[in-house]
Amino acid sequence: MLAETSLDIRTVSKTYQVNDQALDVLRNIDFTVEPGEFVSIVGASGCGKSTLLRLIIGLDTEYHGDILLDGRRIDGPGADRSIVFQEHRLFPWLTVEQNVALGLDASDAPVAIRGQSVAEHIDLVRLAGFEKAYPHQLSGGMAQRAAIARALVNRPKILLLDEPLGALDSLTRAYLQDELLRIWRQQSVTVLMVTHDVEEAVYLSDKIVVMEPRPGRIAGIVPIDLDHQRERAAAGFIAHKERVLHLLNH
Amino acid sequence: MVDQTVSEALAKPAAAAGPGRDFWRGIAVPAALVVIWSAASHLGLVDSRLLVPPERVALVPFLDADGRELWLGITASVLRMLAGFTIGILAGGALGLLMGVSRFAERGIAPSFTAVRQITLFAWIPLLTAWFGNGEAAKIVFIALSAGFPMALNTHQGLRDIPIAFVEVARVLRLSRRRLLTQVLVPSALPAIAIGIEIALINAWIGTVGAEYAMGLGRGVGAFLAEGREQFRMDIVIVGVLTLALVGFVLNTLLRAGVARLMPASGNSRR
Amino acid sequence: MIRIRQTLLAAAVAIGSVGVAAAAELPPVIHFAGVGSGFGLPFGQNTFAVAQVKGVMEAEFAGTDVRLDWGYFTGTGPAINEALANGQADFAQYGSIPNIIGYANGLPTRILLSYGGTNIFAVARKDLPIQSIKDLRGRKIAVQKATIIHWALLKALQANGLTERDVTIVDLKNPDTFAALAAGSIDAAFGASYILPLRDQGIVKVIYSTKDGGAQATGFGAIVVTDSFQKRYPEATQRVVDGLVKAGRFIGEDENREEVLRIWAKSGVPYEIIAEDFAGKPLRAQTNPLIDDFYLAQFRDAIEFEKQQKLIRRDVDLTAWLEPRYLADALKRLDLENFWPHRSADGLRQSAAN
Repeated sequence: MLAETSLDIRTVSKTYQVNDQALDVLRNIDFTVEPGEFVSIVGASGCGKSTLLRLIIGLDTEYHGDILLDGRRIDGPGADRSIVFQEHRLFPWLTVEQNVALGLDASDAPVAIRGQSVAEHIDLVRLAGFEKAYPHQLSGGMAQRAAIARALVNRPKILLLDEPLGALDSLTRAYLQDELLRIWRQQSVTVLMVTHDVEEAVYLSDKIVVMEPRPGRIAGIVPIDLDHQRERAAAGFIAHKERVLHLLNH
Repeated sequence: MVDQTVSEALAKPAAAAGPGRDFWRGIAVPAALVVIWSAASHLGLVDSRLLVPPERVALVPFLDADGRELWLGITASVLRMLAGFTIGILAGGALGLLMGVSRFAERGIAPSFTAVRQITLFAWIPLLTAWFGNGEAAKIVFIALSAGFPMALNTHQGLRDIPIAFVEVARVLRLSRRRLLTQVLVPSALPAIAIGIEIALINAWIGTVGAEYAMGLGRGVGAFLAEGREQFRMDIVIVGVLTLALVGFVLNTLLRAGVARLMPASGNSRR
Repeated sequence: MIRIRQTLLAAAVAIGSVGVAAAAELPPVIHFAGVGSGFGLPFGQNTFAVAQVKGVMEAEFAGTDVRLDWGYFTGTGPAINEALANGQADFAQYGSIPNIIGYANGLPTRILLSYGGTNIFAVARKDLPIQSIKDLRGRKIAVQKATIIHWALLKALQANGLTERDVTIVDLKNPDTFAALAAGSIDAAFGASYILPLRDQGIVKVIYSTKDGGAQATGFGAIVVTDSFQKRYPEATQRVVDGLVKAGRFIGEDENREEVLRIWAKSGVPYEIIAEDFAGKPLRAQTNPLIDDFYLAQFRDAIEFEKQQKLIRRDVDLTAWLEPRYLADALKRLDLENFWPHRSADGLRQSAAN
């Protein structure tokens, strides 16, 4: 589908001015997300991973270097990128259906098609039957799935996830990790996810970008060449995990 | 029920029919006050000229020729209040919306608005009677001001207090300015606006009685109160004050019920 | 020749009738403002009230499209001045102190006629040895300042050889006077009939009343019209004065006394109080509308009072303010020139024959 899109992060740096002192939040970030890849960014707090995501989604447009999507410099939010935050951020006064439909608000798809697309994506995240429910009536996991539907309904080229499962309990998290895999494969969308959970990163990703803080920079990139379904207890899994942890803690 | 605490489970079951426990609890304090009031006046603890016993006060609006003027007075006051209140919340809401949505308007208007808001409402009365005379116009303008200021304030505040999280979602989804206003800003501000309307209502009611008291010409609870005071009729004064409180309470209850029905249980309410 | 004369005549009649029509132009509505009170719709205890209830004013404008609007202001003098300034009132009946304040500050009114006297009473705490005005030396007296009551207090003191400096005057409004007397923080109070219920409550005794011969200390006021109204609608103004004089006659006729008192009781003031207020003398004597020497002297006195109390800064030209011709015209046409006594400047009755 849209699996031909590549995201190029080229020598991206960002500096904040705090009390007349320059604070380097990101320094020389360089990596590429290949078409259809599932890439995770892992790092301790303060390493700038969320800042990087905000630059990519376009909520922040001040940085040095280049962020290129399919070779074109991004400039603010666009239909080609979507994001799911750690909090579901669904609007409490709208139903699940209406929230998901908002994802199509800025598109020029005709109204008839929109309804169908909304229904499809609600189905995709397995929330069929909850279209008329309000967010406060959903569990944390269900709400997050609705947020994912809202992010995907416009068929973005790349889906960004900022610690999407961080607020959920471990049982729900494990379930949703598998759901993420399924959705990723079904939609053939490129995914870039930020997480602090190393095991989660190893479970899901094709490669892991490991970052370290002060200033935020890349410590290393670890490719994960395991087949899905991955076994968390398997030797190969543990070996990859060790490698990532090593990079994080050195 | 699964979620009962131990103490709740051990408590007696609630009555099956009739007013709930909440009603009796709510009545308890006022009832106690009436008993104390009755005792104080009958036992001579307070000069009974100043504190007329509750039984006499209760009969005044029914048996006393002057007291019976109360009923038409309540009607006149409530109608007056509704007129001023409606104008107030529409004008105040519009102003609050403008300031909440447009930074340009906010910067231009907010400083003057804040300054004018500091003026105690009753200080407006001499100005209003000078400009509009002592008739209905002055009173309704006063009531509209009483309602308009809190409405504008709360609407403005509600629109400014939108969580950043929602604004970011709107930006990421690239919602148009109009969609942002109708789908995000206003719904998010609704609880604050609802509170603004409630405050506006009680202010409008107090403003109504106050305007009648101060401006006088025509019927009303305030006129009723003022005359009672002029003629040293403490029983009439007490009836007037109680009416002020009771009608205000009823209006507030009706408004809350109305608001609860209009705002769906979307989890936005903190009640 | 005849044709030219006829044409000229016709033209003269036409022009003349336009002039007459202009003078005879009637307003669409006439606003009356009086002092009022009441638990429900405020009503007045005055000439306007009788003129309204007895339909006397309606009769003056029967067959026309003129609407009459009666307003009784509980805000008393100040509210009525505002109403006159705002065009909310064309004719007003209220006390001399606010009359003067309004006019002196530029309110363009004209005095048309009077309406009689307001009885003033003095009450003193029962537990104190005060029997008359003389005993008020060194005492605390409550009175609402800048009203005719204040003026009456000074007049009463004067008549008993006392001045303002011999007493302590406390500026209080009616309801606060009650509390102050009950608490003992003042010794005496002055007021109109509204103060009598205090005696009925057992707190005070009445020590003085202008009913007992104090004509010069009795309260008074005026019925005024805005200058612009009377200039534009002289015909209507005359009709109004006719109506007021007729109402005055009704009030002055002894057989109507009961009815008049009942009408005035619609103001919320208890009937018994009103009856007591006007007891002992025919109503006619107490509701004299004439602009005679006595009235002029009283007004001059009130103007002096206001200058002294610094209520007004400029002097008032009483002659310019008065417009007595409408009254004179009405009295003549209605043959009432001798219905009310013409009083000399010191208040003693002059012979009824002019």
